[in-house]
Amino acid sequence: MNTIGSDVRERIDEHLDAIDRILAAQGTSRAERRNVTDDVETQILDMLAARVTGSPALADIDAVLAELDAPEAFGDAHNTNNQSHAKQSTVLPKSDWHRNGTLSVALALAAIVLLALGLAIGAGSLVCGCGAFAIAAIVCGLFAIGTFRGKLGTALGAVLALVCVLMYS
Amino acid sequence: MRTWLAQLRKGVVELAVLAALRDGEAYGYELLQQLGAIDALEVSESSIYPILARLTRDGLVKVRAAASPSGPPRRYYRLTPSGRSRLREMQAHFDDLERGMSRLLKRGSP
Repeated sequence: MNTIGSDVRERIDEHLDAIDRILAAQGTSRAERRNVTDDVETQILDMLAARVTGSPALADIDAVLAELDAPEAFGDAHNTNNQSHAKQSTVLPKSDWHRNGTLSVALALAAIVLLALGLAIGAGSLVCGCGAFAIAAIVCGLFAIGTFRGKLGTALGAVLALVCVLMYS
Repeated sequence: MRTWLAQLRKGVVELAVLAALRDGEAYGYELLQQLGAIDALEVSESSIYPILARLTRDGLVKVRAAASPSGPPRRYYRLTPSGRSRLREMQAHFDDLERGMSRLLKRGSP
């Protein structure tokens, strides 16, 4: 495809600007808007290149744009996807409860064992072993919190981490 | 379009995008054409590109720009390790759902 004329370029920019405005109204970040409009622009130019070998005319770009979704469709699609994303990040699916609960309990038990080892070693040599075991216990406790965000996991992990921090300090 | 059908499709498009990138990188329009071949999905640029932008934001895919014969650089997407992990997780859920629904629907079929 040869160089694009200013009138065709203007038509493309109008379409991309309309998409950008729709996405901006939905609260989409500038970086994401740029990503989306860059992909749309590439698609438009690919479709034009497949359609004409010389310089595209206004009729060509109009035909290409007619095949595309209206800019308003981006608002609807983005909004729905963001909503589902927000739900996904805050609510743990029930099917994950068993697996994450088991992992959380295992991590919490590991934290308890490490805590006991830290205390035992700390009684004999206060400086060397105690700190390393305490740090490991804190890590396990925090992983337990992160793995299972239910009340029991949070409470157990938080208490273990707090105890370990106090012991280490 | 019927609401339930639109919701059903939207739920699986993200999985379809990740699955399409499993074996290598692809640019947006290429992905659109690939997924467009699955009639039941009925994807379009307004559904695919915002998902790609979100997956990029979430670190599940990475973008590489490369020269294009038709104009500006093409943006090639590929899965990150987190993206592969998400794909495995989603596929496991999808397989569970498919098995369960198949059993349920067959039980009720004439």
